[in-house]
Amino acid sequence: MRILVQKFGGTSVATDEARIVAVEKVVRAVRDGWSVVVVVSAIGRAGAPYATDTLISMLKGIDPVTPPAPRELDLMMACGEILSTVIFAQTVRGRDLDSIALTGGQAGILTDYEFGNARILSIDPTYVVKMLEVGKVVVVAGFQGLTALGAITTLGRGGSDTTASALAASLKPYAKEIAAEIYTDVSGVKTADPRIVPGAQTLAQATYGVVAEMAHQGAKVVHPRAAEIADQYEIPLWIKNTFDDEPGTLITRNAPKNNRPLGATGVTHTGKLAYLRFPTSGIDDSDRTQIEREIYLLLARESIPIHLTSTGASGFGFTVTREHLSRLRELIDGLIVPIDLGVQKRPPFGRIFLLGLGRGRGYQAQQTLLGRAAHLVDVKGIEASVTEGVTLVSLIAEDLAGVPGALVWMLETLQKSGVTVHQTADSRYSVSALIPEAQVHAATRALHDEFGLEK
Amino acid sequence: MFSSAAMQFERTRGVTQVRVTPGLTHVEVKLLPDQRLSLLRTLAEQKIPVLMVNLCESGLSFAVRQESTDSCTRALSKTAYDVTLAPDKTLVSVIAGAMRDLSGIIAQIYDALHEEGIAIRQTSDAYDAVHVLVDGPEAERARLALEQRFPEGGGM
Repeated sequence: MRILVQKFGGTSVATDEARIVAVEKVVRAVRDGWSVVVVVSAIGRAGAPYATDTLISMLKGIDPVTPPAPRELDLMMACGEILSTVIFAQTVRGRDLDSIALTGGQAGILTDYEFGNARILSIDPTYVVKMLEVGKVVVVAGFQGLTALGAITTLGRGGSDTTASALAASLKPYAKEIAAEIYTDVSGVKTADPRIVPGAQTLAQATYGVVAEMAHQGAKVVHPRAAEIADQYEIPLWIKNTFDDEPGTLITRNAPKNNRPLGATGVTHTGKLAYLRFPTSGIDDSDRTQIEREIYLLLARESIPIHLTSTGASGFGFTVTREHLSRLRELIDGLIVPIDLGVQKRPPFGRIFLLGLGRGRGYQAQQTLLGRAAHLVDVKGIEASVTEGVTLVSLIAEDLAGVPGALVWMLETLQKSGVTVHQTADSRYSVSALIPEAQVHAATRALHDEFGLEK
Repeated sequence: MFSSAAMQFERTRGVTQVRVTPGLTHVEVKLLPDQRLSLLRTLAEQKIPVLMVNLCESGLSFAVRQESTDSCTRALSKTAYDVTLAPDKTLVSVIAGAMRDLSGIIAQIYDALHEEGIAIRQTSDAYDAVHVLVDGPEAERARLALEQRFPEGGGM
């Protein structure tokens, strides 16, 4: 058998017209001799009657003060994909192809018990294979699985991409040829956001590592979880547009080297961020480490993710997404970190660090109180600066590990375009700069141009 | 023919490995913000790879591999900047899956190292790793503390 897994996202199944176009891709694959497994997302996006967000709102709307149990919330959310599966299977049937609709559990997907963000533990593809053997198009609900005790779980962000990739991996032993196609509303992996760079190109081929990096750095291509599974099991993964016949992007373990400077493959940018910087000049590394620890533990308890951490003698900093900034302000304003209190038998009895984002009300109130104890303990204020309206722009390349000058080249390009850089980061596949959000268009265009990405 | 084929799929979420890279030198340079690029250009022209570049008000800091330390020292000695080199540092990398979906890995790293009294000289993070630079003699204790904090496959 030659097995092809085709995944269609929300926009590809949003309307009757879109679904008919999607089904045509299935028909064509069957005609080309593939045994086809289809993975579908829920119908439409937020606001559509059967979209996942709509179903969540319906459940939460019953009683705004009583949150739904995670198990029941997953059961509700999974309904969107199940509906979509049955409708898609029926549309396939209308094209004279036999089909069967399966939930994730019926397709053999076993997950752990983390409702809302479950991990696939294993897949038993026996039933799917049997259905393919008898010539059916198998339509599987994406984004869901089943626990060992029979509860429906959802897979969290990128769930349907993950379903497609994992199903393809499970079917590989049964196929003489296997591939997966992720259909979306763009014609493959682009070298930049086409809304910013109209001349952005579609990559013909890319590696799993590069695509995972692009996704992590803000490009909306394929979910990194799906790319990681495809990489692990060497599943050729295509990113294609439901609404055109362009060849799309083939993602594999090895891709031909491109001739662009640094082997550049794209420019991405993340969402809206805020950058916090805590000055700590004159504070020793040990105390600074302890202050950072207190802040990070506090943020972890509040489930506030941080990125782009940096530290050094002069201070430490990190970014948070804009949505978390107001809560973070409340937490940090007036935060006290006592160190070595009571260790000494004579004054000063220890050190107290008072933190604030600037001089907030909490900071000022604590400062007044601590002023009365100044003869007993050393009190030092740390007023963090907050830079709002920033974003991370990244140059993605095939392999930057140990390449001298990559960061300099990027910074020089940004400087020539008048872009301000607050902080930098680098990894094997990217160099990144934290820049004002207002300059993201200029930065993206400059980098795209400088690194030959229009060719 | 179609016996049940149970396969493992998703990579374990959370921390999967603690990796140690010894032999780094930590470099701090005091300069004005508009001089940073010139300094980095000087190092790039000498083909010196720099890691963990951290920009700050008073200048910048970074790490270089031990084999580049001499050429880095030579290159920087030709500049008029106030340079501090601290050799014998070790990079301890905490490798994790789905890092952006998890909060708290950095907090746990700081907590584990603080309990051991280990100061962190510099940090950086990527989507699949958090890197911390510690003094070389403390690296083994740092590795053990982190492996204990993140038991194999357990992650967070």
